Amino acid sequence: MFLFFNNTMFPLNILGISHLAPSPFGHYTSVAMLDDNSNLFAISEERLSRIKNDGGYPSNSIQFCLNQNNLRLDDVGNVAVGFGLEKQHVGQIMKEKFSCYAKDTGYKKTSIERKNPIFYDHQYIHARIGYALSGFKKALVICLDGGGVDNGEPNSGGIFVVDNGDIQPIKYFPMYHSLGLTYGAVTEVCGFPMSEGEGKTMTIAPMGENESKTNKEKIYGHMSNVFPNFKGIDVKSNGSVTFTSIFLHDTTITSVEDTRLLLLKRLYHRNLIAWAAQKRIEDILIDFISKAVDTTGIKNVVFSGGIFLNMIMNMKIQQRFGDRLNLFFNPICSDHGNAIGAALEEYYQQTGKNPVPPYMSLYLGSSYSDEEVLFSTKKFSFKVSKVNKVDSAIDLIERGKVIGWFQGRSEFGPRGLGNRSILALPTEQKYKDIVNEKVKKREPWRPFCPTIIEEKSSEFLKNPSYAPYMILGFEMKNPELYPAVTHVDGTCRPQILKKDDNPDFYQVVKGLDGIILNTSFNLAGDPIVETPHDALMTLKNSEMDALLMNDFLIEKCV
Amino acid sequence: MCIKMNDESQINELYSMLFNESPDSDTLKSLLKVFHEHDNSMDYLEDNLRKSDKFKLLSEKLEVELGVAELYYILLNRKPDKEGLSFFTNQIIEQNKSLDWVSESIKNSAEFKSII
Repeated sequence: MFLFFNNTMFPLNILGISHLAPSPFGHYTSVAMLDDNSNLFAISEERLSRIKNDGGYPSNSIQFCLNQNNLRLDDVGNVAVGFGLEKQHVGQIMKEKFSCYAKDTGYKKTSIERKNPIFYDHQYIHARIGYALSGFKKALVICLDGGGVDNGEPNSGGIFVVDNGDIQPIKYFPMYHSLGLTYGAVTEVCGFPMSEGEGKTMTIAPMGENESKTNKEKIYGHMSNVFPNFKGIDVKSNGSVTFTSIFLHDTTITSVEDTRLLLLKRLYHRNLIAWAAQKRIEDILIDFISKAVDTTGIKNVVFSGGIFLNMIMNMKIQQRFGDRLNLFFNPICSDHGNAIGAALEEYYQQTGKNPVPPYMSLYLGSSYSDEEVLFSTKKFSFKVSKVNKVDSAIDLIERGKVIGWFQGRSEFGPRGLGNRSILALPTEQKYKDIVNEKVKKREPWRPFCPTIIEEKSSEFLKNPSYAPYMILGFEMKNPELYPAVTHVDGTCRPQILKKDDNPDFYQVVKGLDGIILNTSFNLAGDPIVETPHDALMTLKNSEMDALLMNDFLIEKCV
Repeated sequence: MCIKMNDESQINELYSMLFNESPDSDTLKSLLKVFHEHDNSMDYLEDNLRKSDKFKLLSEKLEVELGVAELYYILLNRKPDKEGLSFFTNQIIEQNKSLDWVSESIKNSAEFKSII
């Protein structure tokens, strides 16, 4: 459906969905609305259902997107889904091989079915969103994840060349070469759930660094036999990892039955297993990128797909290639991002254009008025006072308080970037302990990220570059001065903040010497807060000292 | 009491994971004592168990099993069956055969020939 104006054709309200329909299970369900003025709104279902990594049908987020734009479903021109379909579900194939209609939409008995959604190939959409945010004109896009479907076939990644928006695949990798699933299997034997715990595996990996050289060499050799045998972009299987899975309505419970990994679990401590897996995946990627760049001669490289949430690996890639290649790490590289990717792809198909700027802001959710905040506080017994939020935040944090910070539109993706954040001083270990144990209620070894203002980034970091998304690691210059935001290996994963990115939050960080502990506003196991009510519940259920929401200071009554 | 049961079950799980058997009651008591004497640290207890003579002896066998398992995945693209894993592991430990011999044996199997 199009809107005509002065003989120019504009696409009308595109709804992008990341949801695995017609399969009965999924994860990271998200919805994006690109309206006819190219305004983008996006939210994950988990923020509304309050079920972490919710993979169910996105009824809440579809309605939320429509409400934000005062639209009804009839006003939506096209629905685009960021997951390809396996052959048995494919109906009419469109746009060469990259999209199709379904035989069975998988959305039966829902309002979406009558919109006849277009299903776009999975890695192709990872490539679209990564490329669109990079700002490059011509780029090599490397996509790797657990798995998806392109051309009707399951795969675990792809390499694409994109020129002026036109995406051409060079190569896809089959499921039995899945780096994401292999790392996920290692995550399971480390004692964390696959699809959720990979960040924890990455986090404990440096704790294996001090093990004996002999043990490290032995386990690295074994781990090389577990991971697919990549040699540059050529790949052979060493025998893909073996699982058992139980499929539920909206999630998959997986247990590893891979004999190699089960024996490794008995032979070695989990820190060492994580260390070996992390080193192996870094080594594979570095060889892979070298070969891909040498093959194509393209110096702009974009990384997308869920394995690029691994910021330590990203840091190694940046350190290795940053001086000779232009690199962009997609901050919404996991399947959440494919809701936006699908909408961007549909827009591109209709206009040949990309509607989003490079380094697009991820404040894509909803904001809440003062009235809404005050209305929500009435259900709680908190002390509420009107304040200057910037001054209050600086004052409270300087006095050693841990505060919730809630303002403006919510962030899309897995990070709190200064609109739904928990903030504290970075300068003492005790703040890390307090936030982990008393506020977020999670393991004491979990690290936190700093937010650093751009002008001071070289004061705190070795070789900093602009990194607004907490997707890229850096080595700290003086890790001993900032123990609450430095991991055991001396690295951190900062948000490097420009004033225009988020002016009020910038003033807070600037007022605290340019660096602050910033973690997403949620308790362990919960999605990031979306509404004032969610934030107030988090204040109530944790030992957070206070909450600044819009211009209100909200404190527990003593 | 509730906490104690939880500790016991965690220690039981750790011991069973490492040794593929449950600890007897005396062993469990002594492990609980070590656990409580070291800040209820499961990491400490695991390190302690991994340094034991019993585990060192076992780990030599596990390394051999792992080598055999890797050959199954690489050559046959599947997890090893119990009988095969046990047979080849015993051949190495008791008959001084090598992993190369295992590899050749698998390559001579009808299953391998049917794959290639």
